[in-house]
Amino acid sequence: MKIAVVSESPADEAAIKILVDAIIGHETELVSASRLRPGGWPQVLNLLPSIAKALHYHTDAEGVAVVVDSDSSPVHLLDQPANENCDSECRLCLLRNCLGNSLLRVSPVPNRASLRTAVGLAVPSIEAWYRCGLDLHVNEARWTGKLSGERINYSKRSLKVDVYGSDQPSLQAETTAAVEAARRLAHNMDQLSQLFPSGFGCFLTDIRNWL
Amino acid sequence: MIKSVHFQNFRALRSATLPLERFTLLVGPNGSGKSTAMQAFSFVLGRSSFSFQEWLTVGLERSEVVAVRVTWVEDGQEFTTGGELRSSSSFTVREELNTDTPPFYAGKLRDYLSSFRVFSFDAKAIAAAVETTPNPQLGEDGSNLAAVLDALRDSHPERFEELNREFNRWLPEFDRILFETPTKGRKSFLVRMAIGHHRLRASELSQGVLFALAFLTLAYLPNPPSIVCFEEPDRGIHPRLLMDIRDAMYRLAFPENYGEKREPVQVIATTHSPYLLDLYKEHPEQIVIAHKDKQGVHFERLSEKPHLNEILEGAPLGDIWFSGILGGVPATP
Ligand SMILES: [Zn+2]
Repeated sequence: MKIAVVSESPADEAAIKILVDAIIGHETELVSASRLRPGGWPQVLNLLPSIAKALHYHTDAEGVAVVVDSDSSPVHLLDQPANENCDSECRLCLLRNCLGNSLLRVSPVPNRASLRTAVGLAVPSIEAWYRCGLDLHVNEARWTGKLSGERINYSKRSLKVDVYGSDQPSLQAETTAAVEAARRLAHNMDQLSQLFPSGFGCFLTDIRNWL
Repeated sequence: MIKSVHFQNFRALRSATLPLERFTLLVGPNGSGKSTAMQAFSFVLGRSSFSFQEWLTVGLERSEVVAVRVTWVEDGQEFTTGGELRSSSSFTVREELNTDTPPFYAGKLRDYLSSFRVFSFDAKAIAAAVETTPNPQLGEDGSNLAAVLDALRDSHPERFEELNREFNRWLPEFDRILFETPTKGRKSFLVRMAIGHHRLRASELSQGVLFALAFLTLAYLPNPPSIVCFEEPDRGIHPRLLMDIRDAMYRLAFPENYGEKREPVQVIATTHSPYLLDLYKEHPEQIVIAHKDKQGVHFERLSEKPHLNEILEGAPLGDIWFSGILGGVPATP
């Protein structure tokens, strides 16, 4: 299967592909990995329609996996009615709708099935996923508590330091640590979906629906 | 005007055609064959000293041929000319490929290609004091600028005045270019501050100011080269000046739009900067993307991408290119 990955840092592309492979159960082929100019969240949302359309028209990718950090935005609420945002700020809902709307409007290409999509929301950042299995205190429920004012013992910055040994790692150090973490998580999908039932759980379900 | 250049086994350009317009922005990451492509004209003119083995795409048999073909349009007619290298046991055989071009046009094309310059400015070279010689030319690193400006002031004072006005519009802190003679027979330039009229030596100016002045000078020359390349024209330039740099290049390429009566200059700019690309969204026909894949490098005109408008809708072109979906994915920063 051929897939495309959209993430906030090139360091995470390989790691996300490893997670997708683990969910699907065999190795996929990465046909396109999108890089974003430093600029953060709004840029992902602005660019995603162009990326989705280009993947549809110009590549033979069968699926696209998008993973973004939640930062200080809300954690996605499970059990939402379809096509309704759980919160106007929920990035998972915004990305899902954005992808869905963009792909609804593309014209058909002969011999091409419609592009399958999966959206993940790393709460608060993908480093939290990378810490799964090493630090049980890092999970979505904790972060939800923090968003409503509770004191917790980690932050986006401390997660970076824990994963890379620095909050400003080189791209190479970042990639190495991300890939190593993803290989470990590939054997522990259950724990990842238990501790991150919303942001990772939805991603897992989306990808299982590809099969 | 050169319409296209076809490469065969030419280093990383195994089989690629570079389409050119009056103005072409060639976009691609480092190592995507942009610089190699710019060696085409000296190759065709037989001016490059490299041997067959140094040109041949790595990994190919010596029985292959290295060739560059240039398609040129003049007086409504199309001509193809080129150069070819093949290896014959121990030495290199070079052949010219312009059999179908009448001698008059072959000569004209030679002159056209001979004027080609690849500008990649260097602050030290621009600021250096220079010997005054008749008919000075701007060096590819921007050297000789003082002499070129001095000659412009002497022979085309109205152009020099216009250049000063434009310089002040670009950089309002300065209002005039002045000259001094540090030693007999040598010239250097200074700029005057708009407020207080304090003078700054060229060597005291920032890299960005020096680069801007070199661009501006070329754009105001009465007889610029027929075809030029600017490597990374946004390098060292403040983002607020990017649009002015673009306009200086457009002034060279489209003189009729700027009240100029001289012949157009064919301009090629190479870049890997998404910021420069943002300025060209309205002109996808002027953008060529250099892709590199397992088969080697390919050039693709952006306007020929299917469904382009639909894809470009709503997001900055630089962001879209940088994302990699248009091809020519930039190397990891
Ligand atoms: Zn939601």
